[in-house]
Amino acid sequence: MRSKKGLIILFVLVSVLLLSGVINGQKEKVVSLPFWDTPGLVPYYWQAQHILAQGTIFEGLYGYAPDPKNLGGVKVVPVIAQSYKVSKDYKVWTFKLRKDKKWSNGDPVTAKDFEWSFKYYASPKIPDLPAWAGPLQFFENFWAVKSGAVDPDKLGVKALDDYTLEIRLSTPRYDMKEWLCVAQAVPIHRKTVEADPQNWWRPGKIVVNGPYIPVSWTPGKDMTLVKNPNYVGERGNVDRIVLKFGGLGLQQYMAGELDAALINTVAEYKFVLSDPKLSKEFHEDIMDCFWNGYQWSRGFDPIMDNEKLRKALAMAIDREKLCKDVLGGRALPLNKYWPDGNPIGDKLKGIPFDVAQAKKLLAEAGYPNGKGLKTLVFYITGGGDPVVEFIVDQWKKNLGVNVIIENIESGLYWNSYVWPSFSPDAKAGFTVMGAPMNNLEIGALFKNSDHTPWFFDFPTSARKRYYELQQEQDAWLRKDGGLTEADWKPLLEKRNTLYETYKKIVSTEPEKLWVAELTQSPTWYERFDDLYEKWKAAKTNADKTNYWRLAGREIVGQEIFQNWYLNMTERARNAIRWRYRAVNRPFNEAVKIVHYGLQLMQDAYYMVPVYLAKAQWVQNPKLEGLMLYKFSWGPGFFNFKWLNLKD
Amino acid sequence: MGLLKYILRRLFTIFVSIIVVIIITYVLMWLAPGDFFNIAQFQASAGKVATLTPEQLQVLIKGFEEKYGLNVPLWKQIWNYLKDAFRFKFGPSFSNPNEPIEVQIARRFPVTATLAILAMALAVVVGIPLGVIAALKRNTWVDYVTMFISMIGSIIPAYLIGVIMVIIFSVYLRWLPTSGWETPKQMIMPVITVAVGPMAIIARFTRSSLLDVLGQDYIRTAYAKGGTDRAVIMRHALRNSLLPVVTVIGPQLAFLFTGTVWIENLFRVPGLGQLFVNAASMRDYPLLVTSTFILSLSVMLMNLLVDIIYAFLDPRIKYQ
Repeated sequence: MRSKKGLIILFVLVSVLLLSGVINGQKEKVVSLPFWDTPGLVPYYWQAQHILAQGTIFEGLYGYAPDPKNLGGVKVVPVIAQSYKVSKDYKVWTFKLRKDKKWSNGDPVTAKDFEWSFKYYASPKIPDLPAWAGPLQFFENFWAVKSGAVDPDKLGVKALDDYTLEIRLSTPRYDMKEWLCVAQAVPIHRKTVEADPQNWWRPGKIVVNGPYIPVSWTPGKDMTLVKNPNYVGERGNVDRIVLKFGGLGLQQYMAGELDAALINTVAEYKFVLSDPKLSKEFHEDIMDCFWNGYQWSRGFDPIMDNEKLRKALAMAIDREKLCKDVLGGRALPLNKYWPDGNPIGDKLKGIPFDVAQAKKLLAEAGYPNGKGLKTLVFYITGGGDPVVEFIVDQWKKNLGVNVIIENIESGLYWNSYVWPSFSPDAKAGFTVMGAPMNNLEIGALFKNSDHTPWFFDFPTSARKRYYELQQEQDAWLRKDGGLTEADWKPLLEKRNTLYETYKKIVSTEPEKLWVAELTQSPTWYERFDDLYEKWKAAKTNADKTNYWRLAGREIVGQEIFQNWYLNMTERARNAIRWRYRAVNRPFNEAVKIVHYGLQLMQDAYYMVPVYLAKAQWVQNPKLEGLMLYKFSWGPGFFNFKWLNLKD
Repeated sequence: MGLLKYILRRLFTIFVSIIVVIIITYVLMWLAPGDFFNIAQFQASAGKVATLTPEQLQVLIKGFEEKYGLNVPLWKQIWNYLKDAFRFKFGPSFSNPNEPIEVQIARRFPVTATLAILAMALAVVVGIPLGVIAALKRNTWVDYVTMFISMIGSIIPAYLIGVIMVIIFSVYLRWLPTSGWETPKQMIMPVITVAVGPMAIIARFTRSSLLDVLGQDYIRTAYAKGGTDRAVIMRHALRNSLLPVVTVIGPQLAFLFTGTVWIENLFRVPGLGQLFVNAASMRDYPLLVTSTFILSLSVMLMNLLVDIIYAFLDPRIKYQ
């Protein structure tokens, strides 16, 4: 009896050991990495979770694989997609899906999952979807669906069968494969979402289709991911990943609590290089999806119309010295939007460091040795900014130009000084600019420098008018009236005047792609006429006022366009034309011509590159396949499916 | 009965004060330049990529405003907020639309409260004896050393003390984990780091207050009656000298209850500080108002608690 009991105990012990992998020599492979604090796991929001969704816990039709030589250090590879066909006009994309892909609960991943998920994201149920961060914005009827005007079933996506997905776009998109890598393009598991729309994403409930499943999550602390047993596809050998939010990265690494840590300061960098062990575990890469520098403030001081002044200032910064002395070797000098050594950067002409030429230009601008030039303001936020201090010092020393640094509250800084179209309160001067690509797509190759033709490169008077019209357009949402024909009279008159100018623009604009967009139905005047007809048929005063308000907004919208188009410099118009040409061809082709537009934007000297930051980190020598995240939010690590831990 | 009446009256005052604080916060936010959701910005980003008709834009803005309760006049927004806030319902935040604010607070508050209580307990247990020793050994090297230490404690930022401790105890000695909040070992460094500041303040207040009391007539009388040092100090001096110390501890604890962002981030403690700190810069109005609500409520309740404790420390104090 006793021996029987002993045998049972032995059997249980052996089973446990076998299961835990101790006997067969397989120890669980655990990797701990630093990560952004995530507020949840819903993939479509623009919080840190969107980075986790890309290839780690979710997968879409396409995804990123490491390719150090390529833009962003990634190449686009099919993941759930097997093949695709695209119509001649690049508006209808048909994807064949792999048949072996599964959700973590064993359900097959089908085209219907994509169709349902995309319609769910597009529906008015999610009014705060950051549509600009994903491909749905290009889908046929997306905005009409989002606004509730039409049923989500009208969205341009359809599962033709279980493994064929058709996507119809409102405008041609040549970089759909690139767009389909991002978090808003991954499917979510319908049954789980419908069963608990508020909490489906919580660890323990979430059903994923990526290589890892989140099993625990403490905001502000950590998240644990384990291997998805139902995952089909290539992946590394790591069983468990612990993502740690915050803390002292390098110290955690040195204490053996992290397998990689980003280096954040010059002091840490020097310490790592001086340490015999850490220096061997040191890695670095350039953050070439960004450019760092400054932009002119978006205020309305006519001083910034002086191109020679802008150029002189851009030429008078010793970028080498900045990177060596101030940034301690943690950055490379950058005098163009893309660095040398990549297909775009190699074709761009840089801004030279030439103090003599800069002085000459300044004199020609009307300010010899800075005389007569008012004191400019460099807006910053947070603590001091040594880079800005250096630039300001260079301008003073090299050109005699006085610039003071003004520190403003961060919310105000980002929303009202850095990224709005215009900042009416800003004085003549500058803000810091770290312009990123959000993801790999053609428009992002311009790295936000297209703000130059959109908001800078036309005279201050026209920029001010642009701003006033924007205010007027907003005011139309709240205007009272629109009950009588008399209220429509001024609108109808304006419509006709604007229409005449519009016709001229359309007939003289040489870029056909631009014209095609301007004349795409329904045009502004067609929408206006439609609203007028609806007004005539409206039965209530509230409806009448509403249609009148919307028509008023259409008129002001057209005024904004004409004010912009007619006042922008020819250089800005050409830059926009090149942008149209770039976004209307496949990604690899776009890369070959994007520099034409970029050069024009750069040569306006409103948005000026100064340096290129490096990502630096230490890494466990046994760890392979760690992918650096180089896009907006970076540097960091992502796409953990490739992680491999050597014995 | 007097105490109960007093508490009820104070609770009513707190209720009214909170309403005033929230109204002021809303008005200030409304006056502050820079919106989270700016129509022009939204249109600029949306309009560049798609033909968004004004009709669609209007509905879209309406949907967003409805989700966050921004579709009504300011006074009604305030009313709606207060109505729900007193039931501890705060709605979604802009920066984390995944879950309502009350769920986030419910998860983080116990962590912050544990950290605050442990740290304050440590600060009291160490700070008061330090102050007493310094007062009793006034103008001796013991006093100087004790006060020097407490001055250093209040001068050096807690964050720096934390970093130094991590380097010594985690990186070099490997005695303690660098961060986390699960095991007692993980709690040691965050608790000490948070405790250092209040500890220094308590020590200095105890010292000066005790010195003040020791000069009073009744202490001389107690000695004249033949009381020993120990009996006079413990029974007469210390108890009376604690009144100002308690006054300091109350608000200190209230502020700790709303989180200590640097320490939380440094030690990966999942508390309230991290949640609240970005609210202002992100123009996350629901979260910003809620952080004000929680902080005001904590400070006022702590002050009430302090006033109640006064009566136990000094029987002469009567509540009316």
